[in-house]
Amino acid sequence: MPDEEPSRRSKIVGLTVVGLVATVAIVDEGASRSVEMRRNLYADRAACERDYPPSQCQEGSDGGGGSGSGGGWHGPYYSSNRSNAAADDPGAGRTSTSRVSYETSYRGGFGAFGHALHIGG
Amino acid sequence: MKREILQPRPDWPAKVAALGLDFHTNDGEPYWWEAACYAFSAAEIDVIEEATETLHGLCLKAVDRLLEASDLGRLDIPPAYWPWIAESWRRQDPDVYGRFDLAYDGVSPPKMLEYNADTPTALIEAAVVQWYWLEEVKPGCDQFNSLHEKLIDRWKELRERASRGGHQTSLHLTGFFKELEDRRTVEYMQDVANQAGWSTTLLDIAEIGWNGSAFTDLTETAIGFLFKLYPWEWMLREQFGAHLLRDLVGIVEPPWKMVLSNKAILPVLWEMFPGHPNLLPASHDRGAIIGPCIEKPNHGREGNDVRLLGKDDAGNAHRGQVYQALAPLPVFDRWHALIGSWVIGGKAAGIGLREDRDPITRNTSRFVPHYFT
Repeated sequence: MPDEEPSRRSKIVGLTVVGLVATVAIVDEGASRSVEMRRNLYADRAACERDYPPSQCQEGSDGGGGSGSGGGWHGPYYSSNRSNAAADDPGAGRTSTSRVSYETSYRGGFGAFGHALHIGG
Repeated sequence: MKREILQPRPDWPAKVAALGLDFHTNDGEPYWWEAACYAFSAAEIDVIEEATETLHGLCLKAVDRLLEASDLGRLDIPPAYWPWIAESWRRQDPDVYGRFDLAYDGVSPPKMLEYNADTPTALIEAAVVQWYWLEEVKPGCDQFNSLHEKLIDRWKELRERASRGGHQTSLHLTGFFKELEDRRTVEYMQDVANQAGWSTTLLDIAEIGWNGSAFTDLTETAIGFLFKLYPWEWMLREQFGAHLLRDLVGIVEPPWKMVLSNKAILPVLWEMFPGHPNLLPASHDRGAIIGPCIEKPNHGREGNDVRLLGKDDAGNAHRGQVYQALAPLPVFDRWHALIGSWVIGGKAAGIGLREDRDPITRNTSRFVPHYFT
C-alpha cells in the first residue's frame, strides 16, 4: 500500500490573542516628530513622593544615557514641552525642586513616513 | 488551475472578523471574496512549491553577491548602512517570512514578479481565514497552507537560538497601527510568537523611544528583539535611523532582507541567472526590455506607481525605476489572478490568491481562498 500523501495544510490553526490589541493606543497625529521626554531622578523615595503619587515613583535607574545621574529613585516620564504635552502627561512634578537631576528619552523618531503616506501592507 | 463560483456563507463577515479579518470590506467592496475560489491539482501545487524554494535560493545568492561586492548603490540604500547590512548577512541574522508574487497559469512555469521580503501582508487571510474556510466549505480537500504551523515553528527556533546565546526571550512587535491591516498582521504575529513561547509587547512604531543608549518601549524597558512591520527603507531615513547602526536590537526581518524587498533585485537576478524559467527579463534601462513591460519603482508597495508600458512606450525619466518584461496574469471570468507564495524559514509554506479586474494587483485587489485535490 503506497504511503498516503502528507497534507500540506496546518493541522490546527489556534488563535490566542486576536482582539487584544484593542487596548493598544493609537498615536496622536503629531507623534511622528521626535518628542523629548524627561523623568526626574531623586535621592530617595520621600523626595520622589513630594513630586508624584507613590504609584509613579520607582526605584533604580538602569536606562543609562540621559542628561543626569545620581538618583536612586525616579518619577514617570513627562513631556519636556508643556505646550505639546498629552492630557494625561504627569508633568515635571509638584515641587520640581526635590529632584537631583533628570534623564532624557525621545519618542517619535520612527513613523514619519507611515504618518505622511498613511499606507501599509 | 481553475476558478469556481460558490455560494458565500451567509454569515461570512462575522466569521472572518472573528478571526481577525475585520478589514474584510473596504469602501463597501468586499476584500475577502468567497463567492469564488481557486482549485489546483496536487501537481500544480508541487510546481509552485518547487518554484518558490528555487527562487528563494536564487535570491539568497543575489544577496551574497551584492554584499560581497559592496554593490548596494543600485538599490538606493544610503552608503552609511552598507557595512551594517553586510554584517547582518555575515552573522546570518535569522529571517522569518516573505512572500513571492508569482504569475502562474497552471501551464507555464511560475514567474517571479517580485519578492515582498520585508513587510509582506495578506497574512491573516492566507494563514488563518482561508484555513477555516476550507474546514467549513471544502472539508475533504487539501490546501497549500501550513503558514500557521511554520510560523510557530520558526519563532520557536528563534527563541531557542536567543536562549542559547544567553539573550532575553522577550519580543517587542511594532508597526504603523493607524493602518488596520498592519495592526492586525502584527497582532497575528504576536499570537504565533506567544504560542512559540516568547513574552511579547506591542507598541506603535512612533512609540519606540531612544534614551541615548537603547531603544525603549513605553515603560522605558530596553528593546532587545523587535518584529517590525514597517519598511526598512523608511526606518533608515527617519530620525532614529542612524541609531540602528549601533546594532543594539535583533530585528525581524533582519537588515539583509531589505536587499530582497527592493525591486532593484530583479535586474540583479536576471543578470545572474539569465533565462531562468522562473525569472523575467528585468533592467533599469527600458530599452533593454523588448516589448511591453511593467515599470515599477525600487521601493514601491502594493502596486503604487506601477505602470504597464506598451511595446513602444518610453519609461519614466527618473532614476530608481525597474523595467520587467510583462508576464500577464491568467484571467478567469475576467479576473486577473495573482499567486502570493509564502516562504517561512526558507521553506515554501503556502499560497494566497488575489484577483483584480485590472492587470496590476493593488492593495484593494480582493483575496480569494483556494484548495487542491
